[in-house]
Amino acid sequence: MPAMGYCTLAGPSGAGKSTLLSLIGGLEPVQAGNLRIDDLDISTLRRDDLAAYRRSTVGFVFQHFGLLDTLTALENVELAATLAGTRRRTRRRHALELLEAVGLGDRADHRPPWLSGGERQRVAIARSLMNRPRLVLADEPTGNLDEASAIRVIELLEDLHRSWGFTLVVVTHNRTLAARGSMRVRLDRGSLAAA
Amino acid sequence: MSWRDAIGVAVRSLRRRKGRAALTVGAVALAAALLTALLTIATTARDRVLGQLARGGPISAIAVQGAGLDDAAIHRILALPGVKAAAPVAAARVLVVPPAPPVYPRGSGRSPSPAGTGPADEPGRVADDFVDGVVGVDLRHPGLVPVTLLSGRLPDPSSRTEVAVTQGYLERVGIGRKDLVPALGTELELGAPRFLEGGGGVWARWTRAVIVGVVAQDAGTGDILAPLPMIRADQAFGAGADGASSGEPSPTYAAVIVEADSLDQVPPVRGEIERIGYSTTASDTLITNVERYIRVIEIVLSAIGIIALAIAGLGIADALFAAVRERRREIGVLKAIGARDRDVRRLFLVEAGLVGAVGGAVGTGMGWASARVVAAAVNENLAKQGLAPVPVRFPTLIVAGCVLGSACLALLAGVVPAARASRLPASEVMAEG
Repeated sequence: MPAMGYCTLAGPSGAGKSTLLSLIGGLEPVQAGNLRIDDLDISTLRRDDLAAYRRSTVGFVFQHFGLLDTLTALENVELAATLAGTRRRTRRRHALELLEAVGLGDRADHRPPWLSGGERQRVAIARSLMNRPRLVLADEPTGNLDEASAIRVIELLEDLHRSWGFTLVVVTHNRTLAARGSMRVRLDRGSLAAA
Repeated sequence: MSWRDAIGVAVRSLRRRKGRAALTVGAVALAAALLTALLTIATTARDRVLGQLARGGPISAIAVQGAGLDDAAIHRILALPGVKAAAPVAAARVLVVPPAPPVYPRGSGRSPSPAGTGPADEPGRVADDFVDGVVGVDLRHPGLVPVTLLSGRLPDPSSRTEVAVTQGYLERVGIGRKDLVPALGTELELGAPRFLEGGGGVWARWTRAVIVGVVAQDAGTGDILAPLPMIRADQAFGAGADGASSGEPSPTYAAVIVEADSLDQVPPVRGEIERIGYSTTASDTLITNVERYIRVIEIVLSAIGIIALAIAGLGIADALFAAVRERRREIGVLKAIGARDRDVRRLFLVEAGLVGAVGGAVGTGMGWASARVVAAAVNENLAKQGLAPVPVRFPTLIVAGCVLGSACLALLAGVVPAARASRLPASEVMAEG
């Protein structure tokens, strides 16, 4: 998978798409074999090192958005930098810039329950970029959205991918979305079925 | 994640789950309130009761008796090492004539009827005149003598017309030991005898005295406590003097109450006094026993409070376990965006600590208020009996201890749930539901 590339992972349910995404993102330990991101073999990392890898290298976008309902949109975006130990003023400014970038500058003080599905996903995208990752992993990012919102969200991700220059991996069931990637991978029962 | 950030996130989390947080805080608050109230009451009992018992010397006092106890003997005793003060106690036998007709305002169980018509234990009857002991003490230093005021006040130290009586007197005149107030303000007559030589009869010096207080006393044998000048006058009359002449011999006393510098000094001071020829009695083991009993009460009350806090701690643990179960995905999200195990652990511990601290603070306030309410009720009851109120001090140490203890207990209760939360895999974020 090339650096700064745009890869889509497609396949039927149970094919192993999300598992592969979890392994790439360091959410699950590698049990056998090797997984190399840049020069880093993440299969050798310990728990804290994996956490540091997730914090600094990877940004996640989930189908269920993964926002904390107790925090505002701004605080959700900030949270990634909070965990990285960024100073409060810096992270707040950066979070606001990101919310502006995803078109939600005026919704910064709203908590997730008061946002639409599309808005929540845009907050999640802003959060995924908070620590300037080199790799953004999106697991069915449009799965919970209507068609219009889905298009806006995927176009936003693609725009940011182009302007920020991160590697984008999108897991999707949707063939139309899967066709948008510059590198298309199809998985079936844990194996690479087509490319 | 810094502690400050963790507190911020935890506060938001608790505010979001108001119902559960309120219930958990409530459980801790109730337990802390119970502990604070019990400890405040126990500490007040220890500080005030024991303090009042020990203050002024009754507990560290030594009763000295023997022949020739006069002013010179008192000076000799005062010169001994370890002796703080000495107070003479005089005693006399007098004829007591209770008030007639009796006027006992309320609750006495007696109705006015002519004096001398029957014994006191028959309702509606008045006690006969009786012979009783009068104990004379130096009331300028009331703390030194073993006298406890139960109702009213002590007689004026220089008065020759004011006395206090014991509950034995109340019983004797038919009022009853527990009904202290009716006797206050009533008068009695005391007849000090002078036996004429050669069987020539008896003269009496009559004193009309007002009962100003009810006391419990161990200074001497008798149900009437009088200022020293009054009894000296009676003694002088009995000896044939008029009690006012100068140059009369130094009076002898029935006893001298000696106060040691401290409780530890009681045994050596007793030894010194016995060496100069007087017998002594002291209740130096009493305070130790009282202290021990109060300590036992304190331990029992503390144990009840601590059990309550432990139950509240289990409640916190249960609430946190439920939170961990409910928030698996949230924990997964935190880990996915870079939280380390210790960040998650810190978040849950901070939540537990906040619940404990807030619950502890609220509960301690409630406990203090409860203790005040109990004290007010007790003091009202004491006031009805004419007894001095027991002030309740703000127990700074207990308050600080309860708030801190609640927070610590909550932290302790949060350790296992927090550890469980921190061990959840980051892949929980991908779980269905």
